[in-house]
Amino acid sequence: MLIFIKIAWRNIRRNFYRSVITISSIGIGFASLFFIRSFIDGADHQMVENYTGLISGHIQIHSKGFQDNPGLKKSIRSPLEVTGALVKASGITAVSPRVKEYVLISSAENSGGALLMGVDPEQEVNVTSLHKHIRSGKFVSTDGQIVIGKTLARSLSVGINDKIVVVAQAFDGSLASESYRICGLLDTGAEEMDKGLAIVTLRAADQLFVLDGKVSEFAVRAGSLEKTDKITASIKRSLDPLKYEVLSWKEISPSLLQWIQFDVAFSDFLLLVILLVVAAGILNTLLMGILERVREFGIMLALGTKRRQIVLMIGIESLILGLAGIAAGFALGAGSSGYFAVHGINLSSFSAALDEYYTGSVIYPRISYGYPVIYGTIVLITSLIVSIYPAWRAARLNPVEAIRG
Amino acid sequence: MALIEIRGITKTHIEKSGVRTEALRGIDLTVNEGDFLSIAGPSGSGKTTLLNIIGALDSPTSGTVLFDGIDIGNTPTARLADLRLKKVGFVFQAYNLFNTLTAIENIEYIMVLQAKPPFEARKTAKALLERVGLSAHGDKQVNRLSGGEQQRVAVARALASGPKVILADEPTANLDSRTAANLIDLMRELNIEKNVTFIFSTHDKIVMDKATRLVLLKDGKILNG
Repeated sequence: MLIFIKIAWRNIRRNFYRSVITISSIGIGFASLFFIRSFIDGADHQMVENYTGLISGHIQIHSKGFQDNPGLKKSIRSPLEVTGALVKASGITAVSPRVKEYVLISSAENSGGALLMGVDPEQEVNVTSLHKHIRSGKFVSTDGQIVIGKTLARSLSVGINDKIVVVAQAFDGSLASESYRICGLLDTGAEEMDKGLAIVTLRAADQLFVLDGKVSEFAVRAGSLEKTDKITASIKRSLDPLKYEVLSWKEISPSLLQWIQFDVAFSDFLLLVILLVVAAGILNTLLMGILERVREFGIMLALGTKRRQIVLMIGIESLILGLAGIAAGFALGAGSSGYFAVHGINLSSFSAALDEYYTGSVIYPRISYGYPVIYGTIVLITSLIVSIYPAWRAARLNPVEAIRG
Repeated sequence: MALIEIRGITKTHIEKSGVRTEALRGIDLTVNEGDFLSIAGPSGSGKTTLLNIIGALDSPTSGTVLFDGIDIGNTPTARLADLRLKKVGFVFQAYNLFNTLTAIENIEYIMVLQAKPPFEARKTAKALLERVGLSAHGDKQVNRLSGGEQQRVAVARALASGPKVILADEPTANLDSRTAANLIDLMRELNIEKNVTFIFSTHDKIVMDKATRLVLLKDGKILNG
C-alpha cells in the first residue's frame, strides 16, 4: 500500500504544474462554495433576525384562529394562563404582550387605514427593534402618545407633536375613538410598515378597545434563532391546542421561509455546477497522466501488479489531489468568509431592495462548519468517482501493447 | 528437468485493417531448469513474441505452453498475473524501471506485490543491490543512473521475486560492448549461483557467445531443431 502511495504522490509531484492547476481548481471551487454558502446563510440569518426583530418576534402566541382571521374577538382572554406557560419554557429571553387591530386614523386634513398596535414599551424593546427605527421623535412612553409610519404621516400631512384621531370598533361593539399626539415617526425601510403601522401603549389600546386586560398576542424572543423550533414545541406542550396557536417565525411568515428554501436550493444548484467543474478538472488531469504513463502501467501489469492495485494507485492520486484541493479551498473559504463575517460586505448600492427583504445593506457571512464537512465529503467522493474511468482504462491495458507504446 | 514445454505454438496477429501476420509458425521448444538460453534471430523473426508467450504476457493462437506444469493458454488473466509475479522476472531492452522510485524502491516493488513484510523486502533489496554492485546507489532516483547501472537494477528487480526464470528481451541493445559483456557475466554468475533459468532474445553476438544454449529463429520458425 505504502509503495502505491509513494508512486501516486511522486507522480503528482512529477507533474507539478498540472497538479497545482488541478488542486487550485478544486480549491477555488470548494472555497467558492464555502463562501457562497456562508454569504447566503448570513443573508438569510440577517433577513430572519431583522424581520423577527423588527415586528414579529421569533414566536407568537394567539387565541386559536387569530392568524387566519385576526380581530379583537380572537383576543386572548386569560393572558395569565399564557404567561404561566411562558415562564415554564426555557430559552426565552423576552416576552411582549400586544393588542392589534385595524383602525381608521384621521388628521385635520386627511384619513387612512392602519394597523394599531398596543405595546408595553418596556417589554417591547426587548423583543423587537421598532424603537430603533424612530427616525424623528421618540418611541411611545405614555398613554396619550402615538408613533406612526413616516409614509402614513406624509399621507396624513402630520408631523411630530401633531394630534391625530383613531377610530375603531371596540371589543364590546361600541365605537371607539381617541386622540393621540404623535411622538415619533417610524422609518423601517419596509414600505408595508411605514405606510400602515401605528403604535400606542398597551394600556392606551386596552382603554380604546375596552379590552379589560385581554391581549391579541404575545410576541416572544428566543435566546437564538436556532432554538426557536424547540421552544415553540415546548410552549405548545404547555398550552391547550384547542384554545391557543403557538407559531414560530416560519409559520408567521411562510413567504420568508420559502425565500430561504429557495436560497438553499440555489446553493445546492451551485454545488452541482462547481462539482461538475471539479470533476472535469480531475478527470482531465488523470486522463492526461494515464496517457503519458501507458508504458509504466504496462510494465506494472507485466511485473504482476494486479488490476485492482492499479485502480487503487490512481484512486490514491485522485484522493491526494482532492484532499489538497479541499484543504486549500477550506483555508481560502474560511479565510474570506471569516474576514467578511467580521467586516461585512457592503451592498449599500442595492440598499432599497435589500431593505425590502429585511436583509440590510451590510451582509455578514455566517460560517457553519457543518456545510464544509458535507461539501468536502461530496467533493472527495466526486474526485474518487471520476477516477474510476481513468483507473479502469489503465487497468484494462494490454501489457504487451502498452510496453511497446 | 523441463521447466517450460512449448508444443506446436503459432501466433497470428490481426491488424485493425484485417492484415494477418504470422509471428510464430509451429514452435516446439523445451527449456530446462538452469538453462542460460539465447533466442537469436533477425528483427521480425518472432523472438519477442515468443518471449512474451513464455512470460505469460501473451497467449498463443494455437498450441500449448506448459510453464512449470501450468497451461498458460488455459489460465485466467488474474492467475497469469500471479504466475508472472511469483515465477517470472523480466529485464527489458529499455530498462523500464519506475522513474518515480529510487533504485532500492524499484527492487522492493516486486516484494511489496508479493506482500512480503517491509523490513524483509528492504533487507532483500539491499542484498540484491550489493550483489549487482550498486549498494552505493540505492537511494538514487533510477533516471540518474547510467544505462548499465539501470540494467543492473532491472536484473536485481527481476531476481527480487525469487523467479524460476528471467526473461531478458534484448538486454544489451542499449549498452556499449564492455558494459554489455559485464552484464551478461553477472547474469551468468547469478544463473549458476541461484540456479535461475535465463532466456534472452537477442541479436547481440556477446550474448550468443555466452549462452549455454542457442535457439535460432527465423520467420517464426526455429532453424536449429
